[in-house]
Amino acid sequence: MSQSPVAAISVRGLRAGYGASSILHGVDLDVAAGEFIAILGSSGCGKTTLLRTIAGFHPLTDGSISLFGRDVAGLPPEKRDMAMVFQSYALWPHMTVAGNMGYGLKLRGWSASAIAAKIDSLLSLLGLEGLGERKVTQLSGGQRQRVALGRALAIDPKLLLLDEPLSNLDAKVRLSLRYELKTLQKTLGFAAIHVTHDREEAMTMADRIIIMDKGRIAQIGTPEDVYDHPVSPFIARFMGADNQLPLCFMQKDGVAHVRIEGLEDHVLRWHGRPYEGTKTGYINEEAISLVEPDTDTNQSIILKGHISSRAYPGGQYRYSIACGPYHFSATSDHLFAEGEPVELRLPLNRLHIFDTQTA
Amino acid sequence: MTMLHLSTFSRRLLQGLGVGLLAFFLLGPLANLVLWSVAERWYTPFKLPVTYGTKYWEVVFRPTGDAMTSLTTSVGIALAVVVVTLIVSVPAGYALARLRLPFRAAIMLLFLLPQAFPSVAIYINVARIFYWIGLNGTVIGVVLVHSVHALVYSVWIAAAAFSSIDQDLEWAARNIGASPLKTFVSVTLPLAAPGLVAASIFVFLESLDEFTGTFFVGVPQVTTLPLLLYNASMGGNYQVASITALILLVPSIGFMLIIERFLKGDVLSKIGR
Repeated sequence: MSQSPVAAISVRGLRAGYGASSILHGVDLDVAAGEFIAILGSSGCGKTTLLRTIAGFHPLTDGSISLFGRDVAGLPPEKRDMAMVFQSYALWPHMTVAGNMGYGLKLRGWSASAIAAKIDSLLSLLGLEGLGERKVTQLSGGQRQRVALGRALAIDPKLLLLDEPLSNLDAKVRLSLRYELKTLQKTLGFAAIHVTHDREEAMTMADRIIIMDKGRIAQIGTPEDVYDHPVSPFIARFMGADNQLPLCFMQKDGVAHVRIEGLEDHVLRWHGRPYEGTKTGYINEEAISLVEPDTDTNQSIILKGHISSRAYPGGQYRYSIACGPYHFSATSDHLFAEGEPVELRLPLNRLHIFDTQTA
Repeated sequence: MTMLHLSTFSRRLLQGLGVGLLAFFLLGPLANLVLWSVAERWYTPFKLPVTYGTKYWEVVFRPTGDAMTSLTTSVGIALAVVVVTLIVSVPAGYALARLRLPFRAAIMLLFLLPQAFPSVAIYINVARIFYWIGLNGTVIGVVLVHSVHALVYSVWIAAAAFSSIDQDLEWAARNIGASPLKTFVSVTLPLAAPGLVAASIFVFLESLDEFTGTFFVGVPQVTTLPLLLYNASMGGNYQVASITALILLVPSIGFMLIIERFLKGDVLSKIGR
């Protein structure tokens, strides 16, 4: 896809809030034409406020928003050429499916026959053939969100805003609609900003992910960037690196070693990047493997421990492993008994090392 | 077993008695009204009318009769009151529901105030003021008095109707190009319509039944049905009074059935919020 030289949307120093309390503390972001961006964050991080401020539902206190080079920050929502898909669907219950989808076109002065043709093509695009005259209240959740998507796409928006559109759907529908949405976006080529709290949803759909924390952008990058190279402990934990261990780096005989606090016999050769002093390591449970003794310890930290609990969520076993004062979670195909001694392999390249947080 | 049967039986009996008493207190007066409306002659010591007939129905429904004139006056005033209260309560209700107004609770209470004081005291003063400015004895004066009285229902119900509409429904329209006015007309108003219809019906019935305010402000030039009823029964004409009361009952019962359909739980739960 050819990228337009002008960003589809460009946000600079955006600040917004409710009354005296400030929600967004200066957000910068650029979305290229045809790009799919996911804004990821836990509830209360300001991601929905950011989306609603971009849409014009919420006033900004400072900063600029420009759509294809045109400043829209001062414009009311109806003049911004964006379309939003809401978590609550926000379909008008007093109108039919076709009435909902044709609303924007009617406002734009399209003729009845042109609207009908457009709606027909949208209905078949969204797998809703023959439902045009239905009341929206007679549809299932997945169908309703498809209608809402059709209503937004009908006006050929320059930017599609998605406010947790899949959160209210049950798991199966959510997965299929996730795929459909991504396919539609690729075929039609519009730029999209998708707000979600679901990490997997963001990872699988987006070209780039923006992770927000307390009204600021914590990291922007491709799914690989944010997962493999988190810039802060917050990102690492958000990306599922829930296992933590304190690492004490030191020199021994002129060679880098690392000591794991609390495990006195664990002074290991350090093969990774050089660090100094005490740091905290974060690692995802799927990066940890349970290994046979005598495995090559190169490029890894090997810890001895024993299984403290086991669960079978399906596919693989999930273990909690006690290593001295630490507990790690890890998954494995092998069945181990509770209390059985095991060795954990933590690959150095999957270990994210940051300064120890005092808080 | 017998004990159980007995207790079921006695429960049935109590239920039956309860329903019977309720019916007596509700329907007894109604039966009396109906009886009076067809009694041409009825005096003591007779327990039932001496002669039956529809003479008084003809008197009431004579095109030139007082009753028909007051019925027209009453309905006209009630419709005008509905229009006036809608003009006030649609914007007021919307503002109360949507805007972050300071003193929102105080404003809601303000509409309740006219009900808080003894109405006679208020109406005497209103009558005095209306007399000064020449509104006493005019239909406009009566419409105003009824409107103030009815605003509490219409504003509170309208505010509830508007706040039960998810604001995202409005944003969805604005978002794809509708102006605020277009959004209000094509999305908000149709969705609030059931609540507004219910509010209007309440207002209509309130106005139709209103007596005290009309008595102080409208008499003697403006005679509504309740005033006619009052005059007739004070004058000992129980037949005309009964027929007037029956006429007043018709819209009340009819509209109550409609309101029950229109006013949904999600609107009711928002009243006073």
